[in-house]
Amino acid sequence: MTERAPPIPTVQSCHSGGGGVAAAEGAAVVALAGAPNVGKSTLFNALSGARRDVGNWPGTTVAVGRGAWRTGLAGGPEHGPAEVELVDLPGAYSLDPLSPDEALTRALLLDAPPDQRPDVVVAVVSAVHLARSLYLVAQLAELPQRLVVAVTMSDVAARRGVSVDPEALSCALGLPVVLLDPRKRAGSAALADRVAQTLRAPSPAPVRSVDPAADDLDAADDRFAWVAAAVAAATSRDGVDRRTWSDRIDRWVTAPVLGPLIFLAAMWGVFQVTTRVAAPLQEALGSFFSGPVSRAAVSALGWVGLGDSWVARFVTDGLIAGVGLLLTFVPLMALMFLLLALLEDSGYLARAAVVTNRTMRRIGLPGRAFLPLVVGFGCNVPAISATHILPNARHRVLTALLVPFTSCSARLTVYVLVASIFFPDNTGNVVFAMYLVSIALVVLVGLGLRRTLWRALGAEALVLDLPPYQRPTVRLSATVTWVRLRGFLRTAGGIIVAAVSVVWLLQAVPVQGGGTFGDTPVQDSLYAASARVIAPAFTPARFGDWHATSALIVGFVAKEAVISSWSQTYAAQDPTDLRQAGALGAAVKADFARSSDGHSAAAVWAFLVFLLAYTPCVATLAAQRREIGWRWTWFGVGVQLSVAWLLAVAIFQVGRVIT
Amino acid sequence: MTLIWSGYAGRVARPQTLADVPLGEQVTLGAPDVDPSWARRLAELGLRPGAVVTVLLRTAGGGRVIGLTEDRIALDRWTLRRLLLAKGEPTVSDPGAGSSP
Repeated sequence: MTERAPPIPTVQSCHSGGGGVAAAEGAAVVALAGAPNVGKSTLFNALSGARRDVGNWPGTTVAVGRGAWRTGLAGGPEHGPAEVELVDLPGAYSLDPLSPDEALTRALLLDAPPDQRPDVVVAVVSAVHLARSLYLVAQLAELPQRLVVAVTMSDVAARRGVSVDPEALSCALGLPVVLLDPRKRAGSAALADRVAQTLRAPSPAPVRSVDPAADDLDAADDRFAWVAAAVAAATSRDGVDRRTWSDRIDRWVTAPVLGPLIFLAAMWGVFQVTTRVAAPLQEALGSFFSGPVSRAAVSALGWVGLGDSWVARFVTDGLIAGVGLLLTFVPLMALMFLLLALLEDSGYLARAAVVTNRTMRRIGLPGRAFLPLVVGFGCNVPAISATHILPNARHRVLTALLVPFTSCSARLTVYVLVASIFFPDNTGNVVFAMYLVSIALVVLVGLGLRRTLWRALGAEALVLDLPPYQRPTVRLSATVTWVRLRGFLRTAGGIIVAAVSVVWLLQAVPVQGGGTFGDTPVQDSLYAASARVIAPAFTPARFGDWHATSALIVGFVAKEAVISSWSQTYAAQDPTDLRQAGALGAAVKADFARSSDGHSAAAVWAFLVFLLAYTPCVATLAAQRREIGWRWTWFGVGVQLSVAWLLAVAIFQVGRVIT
Repeated sequence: MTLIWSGYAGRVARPQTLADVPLGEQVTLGAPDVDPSWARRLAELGLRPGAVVTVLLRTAGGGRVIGLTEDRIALDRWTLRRLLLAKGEPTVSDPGAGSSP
C-alpha cells in the first residue's frame, strides 16, 4: 500500500471550491475513474462530503479533486480502513487520451510509477451507457491494479427497460461490482465493504491478458468483444422500442429553428426571474445594512471613543457601505446560480451545446467549446480551466481568449445597479440585453480572430453524448448553488475588504485643499487625482467622470469590487434606495448627465458595454497565463481593451444621435 | 449517387453515409472515413463498424441525434458525412416503408 499520494495538480476557481477535508497521512488512496458524465463527481461529493461542482453534461470535471472518505468501517486490517483518501479523476473514455484532461487521468493511472498509483481504482460505469463505460474498465483490467466497478444510473436504465445484474456482471468481468445511486446517497456502505475486501487482497494482478503480438487495432477489437460479452451476460432488455421522454423533449429543444429560440427564451427567463424575484429581498437587505447595522457600528465605535474619527468613517463609509452593498446581491446571485444549476442538472445544457454548434463552428470552434463558454457566464476563471476538454491546442487558445467576453456573475451586480438607477422599469430587459451583447461579442471577436490569426484553423466535429433528462434533485441543485455562492462570496469578500481598504486609504490622502489624513473631501484625495489622470481616455465615450473611471480601474482587479468602490467615491450612506434613485443613484445620474452633455442613456450603454468587454479581473489573467502563456494573455488584454473602448465610443456617438 | 437501394423500392438513392439516412431509419455502420485516433474515439462511443444505429432527430445546424441502443448521441453534419454505412448489408427497420428525408 502506498504511503505517498501522487503529485496531482488541482485547479483554483472562484466558484468551484469543493476541496474536501484531507485524509490522514498514510491513508489508502482510492481513485474514481470513468467515462464523462457517469456521476463520478456526484459520487465523490456523496462519499467525501466535499462540494465539487457537478453537472449533467460531459466534461464537468477538468482537474483532480481530493477528499477524505470516512467509510463507516471500524478500521484495522480485519474490518477495513475507517478513512481513505478519495481522488476524483477527470472523465476519460479510455486510456488513449485525446485531450489534456484525459491525458491527466492516464498519467495518474498508467504513467505514474507503481508506488504512486492509487491503491484501488473505483471504475464508475453508467447502467445507461454500460458498453461505452466498460471500455476503460477493459484497459484498467489489463494493469496490475486493484479494481472495483461501481454501477450508477440503474434507475434511469430501468425506466428505459434495461436492467443490470451486478452478480452476472461481476462474473463476466472477473471484478467486484457494486450498484450505487450517488444522487440519493445509496450504496456507499456496500462500496466501502468492496473496497476494504479489495485492499485486503494480495498483490493485484491483471484480470485480462493482452496478446503482446497484437497491434492497437487488434487489442481494441479484443476489448470491444470482452465488453460486448459482459454486457450481453449482465443486461436484459424488455424489448420495447420506446421513444423516451428525453426523445420527445429533444424533438422540440434541438429542432433547427425552435431549438435556438428555446435556448434564448430559457436564458431570458433566467434573468427575468432572477431580477424580479430578488428585487424586494435586495431592498430589504439594503435597508438592514444601511440602517440597523450602520447605527449599531456607529454606537459601538462611540462607546470606545472613536465616534467621530477616521476609523468610524472607514467602518461606515467604507466597510459597511461596500460590503453591505455587495451582500444585498446575495439573493440575486443565489437565484441565478439555482436556476442555472436546475438547467444543468436536468440535462438541458448539453442540448444547448447542440443548438449552438453551428455558431461555434463559424468562429472556428468545436461545439464542445460551448461548455467552457457557458461556465464563463458564472465565472471566467474555471471556464478557462475548462478549456482542457478541447483536444486541439489552437482551439484552447482561441476559447481562452473568448471566455473573458462571457459576462460573469460579478459583472451582473454592476448591470443591475446601473440598470436600476437609469432604467428602473426595465432592469431585467437591460440585464438580458447585456447577456445578448456578451454572446454577440464572443461570436464577433471569434470571427475576427478566425479571419485574421487563425485562417487555417479547422473546426472539430461534434459528437456529444446527450444525457437523459432527469428531474433535478433538491439536494444536488442546492449543493451546486451553495458551492458557487460560497465561492463567489469567499472571493468577493476578500477582494472587497482589500479593495475597500486600499480605496479608502487613497481617499484619505489629501493632494489638494486643506484636508488632513482621513478627513479630506474625496474629490481632493489621491484617489480622485489618480482617476482624473485616466478619465480623459473615456471622454470620447462620455463617461469620463472620475467616479466612473475609478470604478473601472478597480474593476480591472475584480469586478466584484466595482460597486463597493463606486459607492465609496460618493460616500453613499444609503444604497437601499437605488431603485428610487436614492443618494448614490442621484449622484451617479448627475455625473453621467454632466459628462455626457445630457445624453445619459447613450453614455450609460457605452459604460455598460465597456464594463462587459474589458479585462474581467486579475484572477482571469492568472488563469490565462497558466493555460495559454503570457504572450497570448497580454494579446487578449490588448484585444479586450481595444474592443471595449472602440465599442463604447461607437455606442455613445451613435446613441447620441438617436436619443 | 448512382446506386439504387432496393430497400427503398427505387424511390430514393441508396444512402452511403449517415447524413443520407432518413429520420426514423435504422442502419448498420461501416468503417468511418476519419483519422485513426478519431476513429478510435468514435468506436469507444459505440460508433464502430457493425453498430446498428437509428437516426432519430434533426437538430439545429444540420446535425442529427442518433440512437445507439439506449444512448443518444448528437452528431454534426461533418461527422454524419464521414460515418459510412456498411456495404452490401444495409438494414432498415422497415424497408418497404422508407420515407424521404
